[in-house]
Amino acid sequence: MCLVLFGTVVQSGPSLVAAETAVSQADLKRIFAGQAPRNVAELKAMQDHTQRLAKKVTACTVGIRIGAAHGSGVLISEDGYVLTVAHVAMRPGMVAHVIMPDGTTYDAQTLGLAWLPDASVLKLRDADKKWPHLELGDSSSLQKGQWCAAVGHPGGYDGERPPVFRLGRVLSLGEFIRTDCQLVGGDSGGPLVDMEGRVIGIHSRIGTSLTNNQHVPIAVFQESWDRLIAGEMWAFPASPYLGVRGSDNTNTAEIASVAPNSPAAAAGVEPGDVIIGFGKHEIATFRQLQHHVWTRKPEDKVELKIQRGDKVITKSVTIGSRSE
Amino acid sequence: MDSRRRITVLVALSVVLSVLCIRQLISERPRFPDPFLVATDTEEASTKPMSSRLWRRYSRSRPAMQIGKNHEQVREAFVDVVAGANPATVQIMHDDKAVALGTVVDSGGLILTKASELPKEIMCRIPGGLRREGKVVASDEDYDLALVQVEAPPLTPAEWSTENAPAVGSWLAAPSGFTDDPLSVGVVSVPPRRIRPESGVLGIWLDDSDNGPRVTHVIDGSGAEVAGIRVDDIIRRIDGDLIDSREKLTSTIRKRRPGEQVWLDVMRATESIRVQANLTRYSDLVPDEEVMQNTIGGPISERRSGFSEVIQHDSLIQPHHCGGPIVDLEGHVVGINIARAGRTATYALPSHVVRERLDLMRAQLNP
Repeated sequence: MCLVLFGTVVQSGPSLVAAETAVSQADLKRIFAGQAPRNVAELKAMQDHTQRLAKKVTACTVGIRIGAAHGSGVLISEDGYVLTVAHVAMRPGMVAHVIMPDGTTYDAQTLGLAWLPDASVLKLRDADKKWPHLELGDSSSLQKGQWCAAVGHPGGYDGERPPVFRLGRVLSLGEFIRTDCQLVGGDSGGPLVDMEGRVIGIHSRIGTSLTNNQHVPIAVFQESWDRLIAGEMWAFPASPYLGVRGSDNTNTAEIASVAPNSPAAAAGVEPGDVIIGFGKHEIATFRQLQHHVWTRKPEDKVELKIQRGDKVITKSVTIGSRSE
Repeated sequence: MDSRRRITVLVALSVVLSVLCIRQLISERPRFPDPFLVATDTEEASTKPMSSRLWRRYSRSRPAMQIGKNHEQVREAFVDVVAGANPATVQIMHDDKAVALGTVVDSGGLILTKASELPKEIMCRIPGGLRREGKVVASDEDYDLALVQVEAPPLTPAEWSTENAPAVGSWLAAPSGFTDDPLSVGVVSVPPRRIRPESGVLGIWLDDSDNGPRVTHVIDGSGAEVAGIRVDDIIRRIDGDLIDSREKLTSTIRKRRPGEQVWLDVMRATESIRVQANLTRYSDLVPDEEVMQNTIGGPISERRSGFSEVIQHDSLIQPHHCGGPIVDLEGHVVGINIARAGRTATYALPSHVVRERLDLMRAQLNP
């Protein structure tokens, strides 16, 4: 097993392992691939390796500031591509401030975004500088129990604190990699690395459990690389959609127009109808109707109570979806 | 205990808010606007913070936990690592509930622990299972430390490391005091650094007036509200110091910490009154994204800032595990856990800081 340090392959051997131990490189590889260390000798071998890993990965982890948003990112090429998440980048063509571990700030531009997978790429403006960077790993060959490390800026970049290093293990695989490297707001966009320091994921979200920390698999970036650097934006989350427009009358939810082929059209809603009930909610204004539509998900079935002329009728509508 | 109940309420509120805010995106505060989508709970999700007692049962029953970094298989590798410091680790209890851990510093029965969350009456459960009443005999507010004396058979004091703090990436283990394997293991995340103190707030909005800053709003549940401050009150003095402007009031209060108390001289119409008000965190009064995310998954310590030097590590502990030692792979005590600071961070006071403060506290003791 070779440890790639700063682009140079360092042939590993007994000198990298604590002298008094009999822990071989094969043993260490076996542990990192998904096993528990068994004794102090193995813990020491892990520690020696992890201390070096931390230095290498921390050096390429950046803070990102875009408008009021604070997140993290990772340098992955000598010419200055930085990976982060869509929910930090927000839009192509935004000015991003990239903060290196030593606090120096550089300008970058956001390129493409894939919203649902939560992937995005930035490019640093300085084309002449040779940027320190990490190699990309292979997220499709990850194993449960595999050891990994997460670096980022929890809480946002803090000038009095370098990027924060955490060790953990891969717990499950799927649309997102889940690990027990604890993450919190500000970490978004930072790197998840394998024990060789290759980027295998990008921090995206957390759940209530301390073991629910989710990372975008690096495969997402690799597979859509061309689209990302071309500045494309795709895979928007679907918004719940009815397909009606309200009239100027702000005292009622009077429908001015119904979009053709919309869920409202399919349900038989007509211009001039006044919506007075949405499911179990009474509706008095168009804004209230909008609010209640927004609490639903596409595919939900809802009963609309409608005042049409002097009659009250009900229509059943299936909420649709709209990608912006 | 007030602060613990407050934490429980905050955690419950945070959990409720997090469930309601599953789709919430960017928050407005510049410091913490990362719109970290709180994912819908998978089968792994738990809304209950994990007590140390439940941890073992939890880790055995959940498939994913069996391959985690804190699984007992991993912790078992540390048995030899914590063997030396285990006898120096004490459980501090109140009403049969663990409120802190303690680190034995003297065989004569002196135990060091985290001060700010200790109730008045404490019982120490020393290795071997003996329970003895503990009495706080010295304290250090700056570092949130307390020395507790117990009458007990000779105890094993901790062996303090004299090395520099371990490097980032180094293993750390927290002995439990009553099991062979550690409570929790993790790695150093950040080299030693200062954690700035947080500012306290009164919980009022102000306008400038000819006679001084005038209260325009009192936030519900704030120290000002509890002290009886009302809208249109004019704050004249804080702890005797003349306050002639809103800016002066803000800068004076900003230097004080949550939990501190201030005397306010207040003009109410023609009346002069004096009240004592408690300062709290702003985030205690108003839902705060940062606190919410940091308390998802478990409670955090009330006093978690204002330390001149801490080692930050990623071991999972609960606030009531603070006060106990942490050891490196040589088994040397490299610090004591002083705060569960957030979802990603536990703080420990490094060995050299502890030893300095210990000497100062010993000097407080009766000869």
